[in-house]
Amino acid sequence: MGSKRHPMGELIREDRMPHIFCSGCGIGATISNIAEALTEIKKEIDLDKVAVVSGIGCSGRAAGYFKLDGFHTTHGRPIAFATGLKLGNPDLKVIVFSGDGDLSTIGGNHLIHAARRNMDLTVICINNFNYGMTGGQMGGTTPTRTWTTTSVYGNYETPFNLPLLLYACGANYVARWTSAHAHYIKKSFLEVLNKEGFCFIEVISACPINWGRRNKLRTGKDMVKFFLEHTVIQENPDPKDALIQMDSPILCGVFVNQDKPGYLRAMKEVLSPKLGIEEFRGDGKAKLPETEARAELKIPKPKQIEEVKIKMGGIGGQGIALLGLIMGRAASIFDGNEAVYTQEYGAEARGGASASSVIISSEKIDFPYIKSPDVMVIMAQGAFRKYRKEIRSGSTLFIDKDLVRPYDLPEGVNIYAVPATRIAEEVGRKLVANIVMLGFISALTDLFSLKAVQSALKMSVPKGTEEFNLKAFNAGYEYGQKVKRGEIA
Amino acid sequence: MRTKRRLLNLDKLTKPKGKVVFIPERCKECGLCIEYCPTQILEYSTEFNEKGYHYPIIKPGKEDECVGCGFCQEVCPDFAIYVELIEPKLQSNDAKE
Repeated sequence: MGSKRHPMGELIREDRMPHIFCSGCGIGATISNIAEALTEIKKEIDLDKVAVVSGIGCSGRAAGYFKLDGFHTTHGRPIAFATGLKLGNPDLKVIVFSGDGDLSTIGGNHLIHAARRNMDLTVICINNFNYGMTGGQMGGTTPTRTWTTTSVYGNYETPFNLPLLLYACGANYVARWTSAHAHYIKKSFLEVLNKEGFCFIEVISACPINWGRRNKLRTGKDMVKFFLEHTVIQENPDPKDALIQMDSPILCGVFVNQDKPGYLRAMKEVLSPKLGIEEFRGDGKAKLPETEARAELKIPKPKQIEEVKIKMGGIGGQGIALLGLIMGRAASIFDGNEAVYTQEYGAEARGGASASSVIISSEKIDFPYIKSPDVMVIMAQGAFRKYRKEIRSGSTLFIDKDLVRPYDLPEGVNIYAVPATRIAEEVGRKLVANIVMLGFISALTDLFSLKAVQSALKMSVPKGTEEFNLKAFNAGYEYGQKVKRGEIA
Repeated sequence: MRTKRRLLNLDKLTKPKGKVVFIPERCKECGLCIEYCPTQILEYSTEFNEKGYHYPIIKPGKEDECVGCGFCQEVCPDFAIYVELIEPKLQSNDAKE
């Protein structure tokens, strides 16, 4: 090529040309139109902030032909992926470029729900009436009385009326053009690029090889001619009339153009005043209000600790899950170590067996489950029966003195007993037995620093009960100190 | 297209001029550029490209007739043709004054 510089060369990956699309295919034309539109406004927008997402199918290849950030997702999921992309980095303009089979048939639910919540995406749906890449099977958009490889007597199903569907779901912008309407596609695309909310452009696309060949439109030229002759462009057309039938012209135009708040704006309007957060984004660039817990986040150097596996067992309602959660938070958020937290519980809200496990380490943790714990915390006899076999010699066992009567233990197990439930009752409520146990464990082990566990406690308990919980924690801690000094057996 | 009425300043207008550039190895012979060229200056080549398609060429003797409208570039699905504008588009001498 050398000196030959295609004007769209900045946006199209010319090294990948010629592309895979068939002769006369409308996808190439649509890519070309969109690239041209972007070329026109490239000075006004930052092309690094434009991303193309596409799914599977012929049109799924589009993401690979744009010289933009792109992603080729699994079948039917480009909208789901694009939603995550937009929420993670709201600065991006996310364009979903995919086919009718991918978007409306296989990913149909993603389409209608993204439209319902008015997700800020620009969706370009290439509708070629069939599954072109796999050999021209009929799909949800194949018009009635047309022929495909899997409807050899003519299709007798009714196709999707995509503009009506999207209108009903509440999209902000719905338009339909054909691949022969280059100018309109460009115009529509430029119109929606800075529009918030769900913008949907359906492009009826020429598929001469698979759909056209079986419907007397053998070449790209025939199809373009068919599109130009069999379409009606209306101003403000009614989406109800947009059903594609072969005996009446295809209705094109902008069906919906409204300015409802997009998902991000709607979210901000509701959540910002409540949470005091200006911007919602997932890439860590958001400014979060300084809270007490967050201010304590800055840890000069993590407390070094070797991998310790802790397992807690009790009956549901004792706060076994919360106990593990606080331990994990103390270690990971406030001590700067790694922690993994898993739980298991029965279907009952209260009374069933319940357990949680925490692994704490300065190194990365590879596996979240525990076979033989180093530290075992048992707060009910039922849990002791269940987990007794996991206790091995050399491990440490914390029990509730009044509720657990240990038996048949291997030798060399360090047992520390605390009347957690009784102390909790003395403090005020039986409910805080787990917090008493936490204080007790903190006094007798070196798993996390005192300050970290107190901060994690404040962060984890319901608002307004911090003082009360700290009181329970201190009661357990003092009891533990006494045990440590040998004052209590 | 013939009309009875003439623009008053027709003699002051210049006809824009363009140059069509082909990238033959990308062409897939869909024929859209040949069909939709308003001045009808394109035709299929007798040569084949790498993939065995006849790519478009300018009809002999019509080299200077491109008006740079860019239709061929717009309809081409394969990025195989584009237009370079040699002389500016419709421009009246009155506008300069």
